[in-house]
Amino acid sequence: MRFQPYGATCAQRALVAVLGLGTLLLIGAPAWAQSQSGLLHFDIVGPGSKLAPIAISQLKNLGGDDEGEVSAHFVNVLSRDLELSGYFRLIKPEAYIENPQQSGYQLGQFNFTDWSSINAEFLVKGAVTASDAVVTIDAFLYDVAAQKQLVGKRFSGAPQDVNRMARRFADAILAGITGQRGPFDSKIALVSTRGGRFKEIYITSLDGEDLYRVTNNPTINLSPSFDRGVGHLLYTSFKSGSPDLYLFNLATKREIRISTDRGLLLGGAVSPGGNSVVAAVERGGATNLFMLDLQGNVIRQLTRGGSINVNPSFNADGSLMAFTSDRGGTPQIYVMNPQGGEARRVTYSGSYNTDPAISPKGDRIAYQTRNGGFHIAIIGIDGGQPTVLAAGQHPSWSPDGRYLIFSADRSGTSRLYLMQVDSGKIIAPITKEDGDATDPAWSWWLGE
Amino acid sequence: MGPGDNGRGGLGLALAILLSALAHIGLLYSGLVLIPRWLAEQPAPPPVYTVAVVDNLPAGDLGTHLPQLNRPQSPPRKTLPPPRPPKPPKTAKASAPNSDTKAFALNKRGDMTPTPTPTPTPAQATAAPTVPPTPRPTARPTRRATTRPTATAHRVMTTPRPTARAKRPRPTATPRARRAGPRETPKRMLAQATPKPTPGVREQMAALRKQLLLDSLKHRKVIAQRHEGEGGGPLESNVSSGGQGYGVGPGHESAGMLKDPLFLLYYTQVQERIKKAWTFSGGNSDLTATIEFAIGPDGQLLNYQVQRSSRNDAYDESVIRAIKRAAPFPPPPPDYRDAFSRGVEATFRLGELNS
Repeated sequence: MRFQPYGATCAQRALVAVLGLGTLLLIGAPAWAQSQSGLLHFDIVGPGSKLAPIAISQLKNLGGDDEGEVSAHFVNVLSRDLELSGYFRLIKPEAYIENPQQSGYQLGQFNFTDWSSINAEFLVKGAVTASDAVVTIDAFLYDVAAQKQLVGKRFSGAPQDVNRMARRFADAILAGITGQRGPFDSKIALVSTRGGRFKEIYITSLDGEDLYRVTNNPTINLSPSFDRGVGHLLYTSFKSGSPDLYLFNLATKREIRISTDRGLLLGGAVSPGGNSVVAAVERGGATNLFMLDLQGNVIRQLTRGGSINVNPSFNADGSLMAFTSDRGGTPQIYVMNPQGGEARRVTYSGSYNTDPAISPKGDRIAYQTRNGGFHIAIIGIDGGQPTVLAAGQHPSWSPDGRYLIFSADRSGTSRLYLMQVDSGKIIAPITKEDGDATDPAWSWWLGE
Repeated sequence: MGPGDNGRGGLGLALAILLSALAHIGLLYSGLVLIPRWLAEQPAPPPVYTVAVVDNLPAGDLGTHLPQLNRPQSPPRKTLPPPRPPKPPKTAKASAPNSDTKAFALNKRGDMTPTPTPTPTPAQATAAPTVPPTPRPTARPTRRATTRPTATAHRVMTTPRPTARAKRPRPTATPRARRAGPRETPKRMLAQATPKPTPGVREQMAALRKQLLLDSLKHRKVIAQRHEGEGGGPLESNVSSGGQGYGVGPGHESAGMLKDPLFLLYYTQVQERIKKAWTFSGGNSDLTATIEFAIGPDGQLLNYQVQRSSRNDAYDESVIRAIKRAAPFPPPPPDYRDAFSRGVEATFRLGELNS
């Protein structure tokens, strides 16, 4: 609540100071303060906080979780995810009054005042039933002040699925409060030098759990991208001696090599449908984009000429493709329909704009711009004035379009960072400082 | 009492001394015990650990139950619809989670189960209005000296009183009068404090309390000026700040209200509570929603409705939560209970926070 514009003059301030209450008593309400309805009027500008205080209670054990391991696991992942969302402030468990094992978890079975008294705006409670084969978790989100249930879910799965249950519940919580599903039930692919000097591809979750190593070869592996069904991961590897594309099946853990006789493959992206790739093929100094089937046959040549065209990127439904081209003299971002047609230039400011990523909805493009170091910038799909957000490289959008993940070297090690796009706030680093992490690719949601 | 008193002799003098002593004891008592107690009980918000009285909740075990928070509500107002009848509690089935047996099918938004009775949540700590500000060095003591003795001229009190008393009952009072305008305040204080022949204590305390409130108000104002980003409130609404001001609204009684520190203090308290309870992230800075609500005589939230939606559900919900979390409010000052139970409106602007 500010009572004056920031640039209020000293004279105005002095006026406030001098007149103060006396003026008020003498003059009374000014005409413009009157509300039309004749009611008393409050004007509140800006929330007291951007972060909603939330309490996450341990799950009540309904059997099989006597040590509370499942509950602790669920609560840990959920807490981490909600913190990463940028919407919440977690109230420390030490402040909780209630013992979750001795009170209920459904509406009417516990006392909201135990939570309003520690100033919780939202509350997560739930229960767990666990056996060796199956874990079932009931989880609820409550609005403490209104004493009502906002979200209720039952998850059932194998014990190793508890992480995912927590992520799905985090997504459901964001849906319940912000009206938009959260991005946590998804995967991040990245290139990392952890465990050696070679660049290998890994898959992880946003909360850092479930790290999986995709490649293990003493060469260079680059540019991962997921198909929309998150069944396949495409990447470029030098393991055969020359760069080729490899499509890794995430379910079977097998991969196929995609090569072409049109020239040298310099990276590519798998189409959302997963049945084709767009590859950058170099020959005679020119690099052009080709749509290939999974056997390496050319479906369509997308760009022509002697310039360099690289970095293809799709929006969520595959109707748009962005790429980098130097056909205008400097590397700039272009968009086109991957079914064919003319490419349209999007960026005009800056002389070195690369690595575009189209937002899932297809309304914005994030890219990196070089201007005394690399920065992440955002621009509308139709161009306009870009917004530079932060130092970093290789942006990738979350499936809900609210976040970007990108790499940045701030401490001598390249790490992945999570950013809330609309506020421009960098929420947290996602990777530890164990090797350089680069080239992130954020998948679509893992399930509906 | 007059110049002839001294000539009355020993008996008269003894009587006078006795009465004076009694009066002093009374004053001391009121000053040290009654006033603090009264100040503590009247404007302060309810204790933090209250127990909501809900039909289907078992009584808590904190031992601090409030007798009854849900008083009968004030007669229906023109501007607000009658309070919503509480919906019947949902059955166990209704509040059961959406079954997700196919391991991970994400369900739509969960059941929104309203509670049977809207119960005020315990108050969160609010700044009590009793913070005594330090007097400004520029204060002129003259006004108090002139007004106070008149105001407290008791028949019972005799000679020694004027000097001794003038200082006693205002330990925290500050020379606010100077800022408060040359004419208005003294007059009003006079009116408030003019004693009825006998007791006088109540009136004195009322005057004192009022003065403390004014001081507190001034203190808040000073704070608001210091932290320019926050605060606000009706005080500033008089200053021409290019339409950025804070409307105290109006109406028939507004002129009187705005002169009353009791009202202003209460208004500021409510505004601060709501802002503090409001959390929101995201959206663009144009978002604005107006909520109409009413505050009952006990400070409870009587009713609310979105009067002008932001057309962003999440934003509207955040604003409703803010009002609910801010409630219960401190009880409005007696003179303004009608105004607050008739309904107030609050406009929530996201402002330029998300640029």
